[in-house]
Amino acid sequence: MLRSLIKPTGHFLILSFFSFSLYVPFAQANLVGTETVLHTERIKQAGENSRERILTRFNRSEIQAYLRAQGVNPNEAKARINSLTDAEIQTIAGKMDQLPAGGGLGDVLFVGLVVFLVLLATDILGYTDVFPFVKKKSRR
Amino acid sequence: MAPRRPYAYFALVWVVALLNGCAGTLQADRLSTNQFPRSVELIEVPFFPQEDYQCGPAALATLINWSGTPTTPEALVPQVYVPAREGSLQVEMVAAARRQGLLPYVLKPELAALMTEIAAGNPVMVLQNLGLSWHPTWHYAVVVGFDLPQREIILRSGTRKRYVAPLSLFERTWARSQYWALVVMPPDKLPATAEELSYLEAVLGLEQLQLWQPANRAYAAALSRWPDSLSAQIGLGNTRYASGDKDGAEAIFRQATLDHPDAAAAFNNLAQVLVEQGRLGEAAEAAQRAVTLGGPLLKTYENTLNQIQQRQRGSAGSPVAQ
Repeated sequence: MLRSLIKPTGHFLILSFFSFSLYVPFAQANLVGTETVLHTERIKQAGENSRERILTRFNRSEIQAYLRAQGVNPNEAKARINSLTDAEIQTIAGKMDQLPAGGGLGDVLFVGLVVFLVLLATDILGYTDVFPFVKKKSRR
Repeated sequence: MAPRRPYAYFALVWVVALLNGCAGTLQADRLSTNQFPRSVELIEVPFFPQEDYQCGPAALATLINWSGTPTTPEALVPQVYVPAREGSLQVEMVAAARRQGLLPYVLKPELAALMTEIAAGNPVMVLQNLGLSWHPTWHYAVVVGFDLPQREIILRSGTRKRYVAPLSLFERTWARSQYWALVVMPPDKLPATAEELSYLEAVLGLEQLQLWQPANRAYAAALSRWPDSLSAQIGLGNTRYASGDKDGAEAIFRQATLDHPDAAAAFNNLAQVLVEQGRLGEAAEAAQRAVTLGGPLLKTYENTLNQIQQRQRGSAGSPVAQ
C-alpha cells in the first residue's frame, strides 16, 4: 500500500536531507551536517555512486512496531529506535527476524534426540561449544 | 551395540563427515604471531554472570564498566533485551553503549584485530554461534586474554568468569557471526585498530543522539590522530556550535578552510557561525566562497549566502528603533 508512495517520498527525502539537517539546533542555521560530509568522504573512498538514503522514517516506525510486538515496552522501544543511526536502521530494516539474538545457552538441553546427538558429536570434535560437560582442550 | 535409530545414526555420521569436509582454513592457523605478545590476560576486567537469556546485558555491562561508567546488567536489560526473541540484537548493543556517552566501535572482522585490541588492554565483546548453522545458539561473551603458545583464548562467558577455550573452537563459533566484535571506549580514547572513517561514523552516532560533550571529545581525539580529517573538523565544529561554543566552532571551521581550501562545506559552516556573531562582511565572503566552489549542496550554500545578504541589506537601511 505504501509502495506507490515510496519512490516519490524517497526522492523528496533525499532532497530535503540535503536542505535540512538532522536535528533541532540546526533548524534555523544552514550548517552542513557532519553526516553529509562524512557520507561524502565515505563515498569518495569507496568510489561508488551516491546511494539513496531510503525511507528512514518509515523504517524506523516499522522496527519500532517490531520491537513492541516482540514484547518490548512501547516507551523503551521508542527510545531504543531513537538511539540507532540512519545507517544502522538501513542495515536492519526488513530483516528483523533474521538477525541473531544473542541469549546464550538457555534451553540448549531441550532439543530433539537427533540434534542432541549431532551437537554432542560436534562438541567433541571441536566445532560447537554448547555442552559444558564436554571438555574442550586445545590440541597443541 | 546396534543403533536403535539407524536413520539418526547415519544422519549423524553424515553431518560429522560433512563438517570435517568443509572445515575451511582458520585465521588462527594463518596468524603471524610475531606481532603479538605471547600471552595477555586482562585480569581486572569485571565479571557479571549472566542470567537466563541475558548474556547481552551481562557482556555489555562488562565493557561499560571497564570504560569507567558504572552500570549493571539489570539496568541494561530494558535497553537491549527482546523478550520474544530471548536475546539481544547486535545493533542495539551498540546503541545502548552509545546512550551511555561512550564510543562503541565494531572491529574489522579479523582475529588479528581482536588480538590487537586485547594486547592494547581493551576487552572485546564477541557474538558467537555456539551451535550449528542450522540450529544456532547465539551468545555474547567478552574476550579478556589469549595464550598463543597454548593456542587458547580466555573469555568471560555466561556463568564462567574465566573460560579458557581452544583458539580454533573459539574461532569456529565466532566466524559464524561473520567475526563480529565490539569494543566500548571512553570518548577520548581511540580503539587500537581504529580507522578514520569507521571511527568517525561511530562518533557520528553520539552527535546524532545530541550527546555533545562525548561527541566533542571523540572528534577532538580523532583530530589529534588524523589531523587532516575534514570530517573530524566539521564534526568538531558542529558539536561546538550545538553546545553554544560559537567561538570554538568558528576557530575550527576556519582551520578547516585553510587545511581544505576546496571544502565548500567548511566555508558554508564558517559563514553561518560568522553571521551569528554579527560579522556580516566576513560571513558573506565565506558564503560566497562556498557558492563558488559549488557541488551537490549548492542550494544550501546559496541559502546561506541569501540569508546573509538579506541581513546586510536590512542593517544597511534600518531606521533607528524607538
